[in-house]
Amino acid sequence: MIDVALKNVFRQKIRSSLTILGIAMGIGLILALGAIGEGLNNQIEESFGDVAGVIDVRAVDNDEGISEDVIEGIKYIDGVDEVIPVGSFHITQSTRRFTGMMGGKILGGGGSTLTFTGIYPPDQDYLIGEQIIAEEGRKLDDSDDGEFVVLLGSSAAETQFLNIGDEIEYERREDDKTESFYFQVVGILEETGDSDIDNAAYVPLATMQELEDDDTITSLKVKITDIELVEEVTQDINDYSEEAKAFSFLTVVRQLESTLGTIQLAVYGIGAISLLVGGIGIMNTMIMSVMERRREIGVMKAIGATTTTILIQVLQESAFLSLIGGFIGLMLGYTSTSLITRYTAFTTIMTPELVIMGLGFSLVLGMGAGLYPAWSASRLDPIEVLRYE
Amino acid sequence: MSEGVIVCDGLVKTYNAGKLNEFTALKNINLTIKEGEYVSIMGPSGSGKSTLLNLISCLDSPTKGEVYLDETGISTLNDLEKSRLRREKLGFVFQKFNLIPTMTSFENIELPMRFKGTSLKERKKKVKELLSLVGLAAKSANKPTEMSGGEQQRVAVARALANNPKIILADEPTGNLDTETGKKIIELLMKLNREEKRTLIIVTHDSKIAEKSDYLIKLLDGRVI
Repeated sequence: MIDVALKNVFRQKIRSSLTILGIAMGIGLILALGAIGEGLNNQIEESFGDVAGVIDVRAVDNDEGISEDVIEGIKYIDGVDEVIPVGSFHITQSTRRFTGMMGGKILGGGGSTLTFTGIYPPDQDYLIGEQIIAEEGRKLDDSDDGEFVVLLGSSAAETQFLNIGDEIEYERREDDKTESFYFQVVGILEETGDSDIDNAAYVPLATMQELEDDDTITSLKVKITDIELVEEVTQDINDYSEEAKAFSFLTVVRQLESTLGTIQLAVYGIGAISLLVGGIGIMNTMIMSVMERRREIGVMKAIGATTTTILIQVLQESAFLSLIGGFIGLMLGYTSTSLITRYTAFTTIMTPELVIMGLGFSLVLGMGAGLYPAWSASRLDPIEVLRYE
Repeated sequence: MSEGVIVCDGLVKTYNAGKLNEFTALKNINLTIKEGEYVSIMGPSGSGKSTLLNLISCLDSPTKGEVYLDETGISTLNDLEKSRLRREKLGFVFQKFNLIPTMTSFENIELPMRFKGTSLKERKKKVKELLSLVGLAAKSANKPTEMSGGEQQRVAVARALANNPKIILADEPTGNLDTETGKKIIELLMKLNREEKRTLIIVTHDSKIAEKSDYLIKLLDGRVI
């Protein structure tokens, strides 16, 4: 009797259309909010995806650094693939003014401080990202060990007004005596969006250790065999030594995601309320529709329709109202999120799960809202309605 | 109780029992209607005609007594069985036609068959037959509003016959029709009674209709007189 139900839905065209619109807006809102939420999640994952699997280990005391023993020990923790030492060398306040030689002129230096990050050149692809290329010049190479060269992040180069070939002054202090060393810029990286990399100045670790006569390692990057182990290994490193404090971006990502989850929940709540309003609209429409058709329903029962037949018939009608609303809502949601993606920098993601959830929701809502009207219709007494109406 | 297709045994129907407005519509009705008979029920308003018809059509239950349809006591049936019995053994014709306004003649007539679960192929065949039987073969796609009262009532008769019932119950079938049209409807119903041996029960105010019946049940104040 689905054809009958469908026909009944369109008996009161305006009323049904408005009811459908109510549902469509509710479903559309939920889907749009859902797609925006998915987009946010995806953005977080993209921003942190590269680094989420890396454990950052920092020395608790920067002067002491992390001892060789501890570094060796970390290498043997289960799940650790590789330990990459990174040195950090501050260019002190007085030497922040660096000189750039260009056309014989000395260029004045910029504002913020620069920190030399000492790395082993073979580790750079891993630390910076293999896919990140030098926009100008070149990245470091193995022969740079012991050389006075520097690879800059895009922001570092921009804020300090540095170009390829410019030199950065580094002052070594030793018993009140200072001696300047000049590091030549050999490459400037493309913008990565990761501020750690964009603001960095990478120099060969061997050069710095020789210069300072100090092989203190202040931080490590720990590569792991399986991203699933991140939290476990982070905990193991923290348990292993008090010299070093390990933390992973995954923890940050998890926190962000959980915050986002809370926001999403609230947002879904708003959507759910609008859906509920739509559901009440359906219920209202169905109650009216059943009232108007009391006589018809009575006749149907008199000529042999069972209670169940009537019940199913009315439920089908409200499910139709709701499903049509759901489909239109789907289109509304899809169109609005497509527009957002197209005209703003934000990318929304409409997942199949969202679509199925939206349609499923509308079906359940329709059936739920139809329950009472259907029940009351099925309970109509043919004698009563045929006698008095 | 094997002598009649419809047997009423000591029927009593009391409304609002125990309340101030207690009202006994039927007081000890005993009836036996044999298969193929044409019976009229007459009586003034409030005499209990409709109540009797409601009890026979399993729409209502007696306070006391029992109705036997084809030797089955209807008080032993559950709702589902009563619905089945109504659509398979009884055909209803109402005073106000009571067609479904959104449905065409065809759809109205096939409705009891859909409730029963008859296949589309069979339904099409049967509806076609019935439409020509009531002389409306050309009006298959018309909706009730596009037809005259007489035509609507003929569609209603065709609908009553959809599941080939043994018994036709007509509640003032001519009440909303002019005399000439009403006569034709009665002729149609009588033809079904004579030629197809269907038991016909007509509730009427019209003594001309009642005269033609095999026998007449006169009701007054809930009793047969």
